[in-house]
Amino acid sequence: MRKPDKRQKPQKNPFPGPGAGPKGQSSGHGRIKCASAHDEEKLRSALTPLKPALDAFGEETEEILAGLPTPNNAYFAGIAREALAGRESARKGSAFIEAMTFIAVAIAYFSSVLWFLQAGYFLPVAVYYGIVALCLPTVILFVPEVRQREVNER
Amino acid sequence: MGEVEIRIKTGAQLREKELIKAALAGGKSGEEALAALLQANYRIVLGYFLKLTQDPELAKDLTQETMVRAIKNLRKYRGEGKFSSWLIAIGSNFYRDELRKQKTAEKITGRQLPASAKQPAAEAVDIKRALLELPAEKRIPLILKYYHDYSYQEIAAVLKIPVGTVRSRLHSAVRQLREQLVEESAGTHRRTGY
Repeated sequence: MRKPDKRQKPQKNPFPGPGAGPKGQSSGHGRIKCASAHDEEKLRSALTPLKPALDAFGEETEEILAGLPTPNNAYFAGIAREALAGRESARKGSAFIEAMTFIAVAIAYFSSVLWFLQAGYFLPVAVYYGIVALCLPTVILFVPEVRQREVNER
Repeated sequence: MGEVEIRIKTGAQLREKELIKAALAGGKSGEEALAALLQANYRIVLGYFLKLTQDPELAKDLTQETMVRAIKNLRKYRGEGKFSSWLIAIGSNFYRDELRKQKTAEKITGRQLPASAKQPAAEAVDIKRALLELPAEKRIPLILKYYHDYSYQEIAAVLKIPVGTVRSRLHSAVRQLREQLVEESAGTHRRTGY
């Protein structure tokens, strides 16, 4: 006798219960939340035997914490001043690098255009500038919108 | 009672938001606001690092570095959740980075808590050792879950890992802790002859 094929997918229940149908379907998010709650419950029960030890450790840490003084406001003001000064110098440094990179790229670009013109490639340069003149307004108009849409989707 | 608590909480959150706004505005008052904000959250971060490292001096250093990083990245704080949670996220990532950088992780994890005035219970010593033996990847979620009552989603956001990974790491951490404690207690019984 031929054995039933185990690879066959199980048939859907031909007699769905009262909860079936569009109204009875649960959302994916709901299922995830439910699974998460169930899992948290499982974790809690797994932690039960460790609870006395973990609580004792927590209490001990709290005792040590109580013995450590909170520094005064001047200490935090000092940290803030130092960190802000560091942030300012880092910002200046990155702005300087950005400006230098921009200048270098601009010089390289214009030099290459000049080289092409001197080599006699007038038509390709003219076509290139024509394409840029046509496409640039479109890019400027639509790129911020696309970016905004991406941000919204996120 | 609950209503009063909620009112206090809301008041504190409002004050926190005002302080953040002032800190972002910069200037002298911004500096003062930043200092007040850090002072208000200092003990939360210190307590977290104390549980994580079991070394008060190291915990202090990590807290200070976390504060410095928070100031530098204050503009990235989007106001979602509590400021202390954001600080803990920065601190956790910094701690993990440091552990990753150091090949000899014992330098950080191997230190022991100094003897406290009160003699700790034997089970506390066991759990301390067992916690220290857990890798940071498992210890951080466990401490956030047990002592700070974070949800899986919150831990995932702090550590920038999927919720499923948080779940598996937590279960694995609990399993490892239980196994270690059982082993240690079996060893003690064997030594004492019971």
